[in-house]
Amino acid sequence: MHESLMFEIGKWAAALVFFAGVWGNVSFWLTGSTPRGSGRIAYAVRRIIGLALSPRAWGRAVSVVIFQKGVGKGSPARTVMHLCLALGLMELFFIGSGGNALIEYGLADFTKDTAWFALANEIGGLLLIVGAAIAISRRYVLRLPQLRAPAGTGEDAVIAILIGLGVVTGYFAEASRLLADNVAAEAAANSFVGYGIARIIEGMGANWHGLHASIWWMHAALGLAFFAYVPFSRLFHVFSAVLLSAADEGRPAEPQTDAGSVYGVSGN
Amino acid sequence: MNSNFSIKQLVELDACTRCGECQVACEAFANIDSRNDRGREDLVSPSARLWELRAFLKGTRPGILSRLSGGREFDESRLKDLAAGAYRCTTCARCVERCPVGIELRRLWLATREELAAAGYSPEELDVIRQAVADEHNIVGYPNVERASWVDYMVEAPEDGYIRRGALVVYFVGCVSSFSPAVQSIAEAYAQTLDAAGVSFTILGEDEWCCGFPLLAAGMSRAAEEVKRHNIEKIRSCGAKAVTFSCPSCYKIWRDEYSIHLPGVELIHSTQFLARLIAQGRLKPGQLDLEVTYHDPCDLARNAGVYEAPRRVLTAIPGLRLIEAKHVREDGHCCGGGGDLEVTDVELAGRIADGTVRSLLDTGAHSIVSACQQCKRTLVSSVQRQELENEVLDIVEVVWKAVSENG
Repeated sequence: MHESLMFEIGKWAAALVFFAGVWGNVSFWLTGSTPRGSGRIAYAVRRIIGLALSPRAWGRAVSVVIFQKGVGKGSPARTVMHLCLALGLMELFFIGSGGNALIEYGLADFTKDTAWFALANEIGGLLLIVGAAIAISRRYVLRLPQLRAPAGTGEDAVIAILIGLGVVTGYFAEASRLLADNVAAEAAANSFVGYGIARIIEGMGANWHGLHASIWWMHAALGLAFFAYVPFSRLFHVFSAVLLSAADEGRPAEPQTDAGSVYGVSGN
Repeated sequence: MNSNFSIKQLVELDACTRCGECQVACEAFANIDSRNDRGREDLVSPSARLWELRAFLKGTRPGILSRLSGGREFDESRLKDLAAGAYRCTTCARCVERCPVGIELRRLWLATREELAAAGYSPEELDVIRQAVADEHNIVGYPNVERASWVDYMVEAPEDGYIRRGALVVYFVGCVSSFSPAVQSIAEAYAQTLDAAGVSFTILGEDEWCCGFPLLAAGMSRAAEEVKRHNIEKIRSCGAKAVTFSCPSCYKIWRDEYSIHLPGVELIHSTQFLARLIAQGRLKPGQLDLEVTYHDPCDLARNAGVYEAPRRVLTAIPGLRLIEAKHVREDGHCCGGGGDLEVTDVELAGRIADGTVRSLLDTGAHSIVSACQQCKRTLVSSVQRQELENEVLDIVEVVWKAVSENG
């Protein structure tokens, strides 16, 4: 009970920080000017409602979020990196965290060991590792000049640490859970990374319940910290960039002008 | 309130992922000479500049939230550095094409210049332009009564000097073609071509004032209001049905800012009008044995979306062989002449032009053809600087050559 309460407090604290950050950004946006000087909030509300009711806007948003359309423009490495990071984070947030919440509240017809659920979370973690590895390689190994800006490099390190440690603690939490719950090998193998780690460490003979709890708390703290950090970092682009993409109606095609008047002297 | 920035632009500041692709595309940043001490050179990079702008605008709001999301208070020195970066940009929009998020960076830079100019941080050199436009209604500061002097220099100038009452089309020549001897041939060629095609056109002569684009590019859009009002009134009073331009910058500002005040008046760039005249048989280009490569002017191509009309014109000329360069259309190089960069950093503008010339001549073509007098000026200067034998022509000059040789 005590632990549940602590987690609830942590969860709501992270949510509070997250929404405070979102509010900070949105209220900043609302200091901007509007076309024809109309009221800013009214204009913003009209635009948001317009986008929400527009199938095309939804189509554009989905193509960017799910299919990553245009995201990796000009760079195959960045395309792969972003695809891995985006899909990995979406999987772990919506399916992983969402699914675990449903299980926790008894609303799920699956368990942590259900094959599709376990596999999806393992793959989500791997996608994050691959994406993060490419990102770290581009910044710190290849040292691409366009990524070596003076400001915000600290932010790169924070994000890399949060993601990296989050994934590592996630797999170790899973490994220790498999050992603590003595999950049968057949089911445990679906969490193939966690199972692999479990097979390596099982000889340690540790207090798996205690270890799982500790690692789980680390993982939870990292996840909540990551969530709270989003609006204060470039990660906020997951919302603002999608909003821009939804609103972007593209450029008009080059006008066809060959058929117009030649304004001849004779009046033709 | 950030009145110089729209809500959308402020959202864009928070949508940047710092991927740096804009910096990869930026020719100004690629040609920075680090030996030249002009403060923070990194702020020529669109990526670094955007985040500096974000820090500045967020920093103008009090409170811990703005500080936590990157807002910083800027002292005078830091603002001067931001201005130095913001004004060393040709506004070519190559960065816009590369941005995976779709940030309208070019508009952001113009809004930034508005903000900086209003606070007194625009380069002093641009005040000369503002004063020239205010006093003489052109960017060079010459008496505007001399605006149509290029007609007087023509070998076969028409008696009416191209000023014709009741004409259906106004040829808006633009300050550069009117006053710069290096490119007055563009105005001559276009006027002669329009006459050959039997187009009912006129020029405005001294009644033509600067379109205001250089002021817009300088972040002094309010100073352009008077010239805009004047030009609009002139078109209304002469009753023209169309306005044509050989200058893409004039064309763009007229399309963006003037058109709403001139309903029913067609605005058409020379490349589009020539394509139309050729397509409808009004112009019959003769044989011209020329191997050319076409340079897409930024304000015509990326910034106004006109890519194919000039190519239709060139490929309609018998004997002319068009060789496309490696970087064309949306990916075309910049001539270095835009965004008032020639005023604020002529050496940087020159280095950009040199790189563009080398890239264009990699095609093996002898002649470079563009559709902008500013491009022609900077590219000709570059060819001369590099002591090359190649020629740089405007598309109207190529067409006139083909048409006049056909009799």
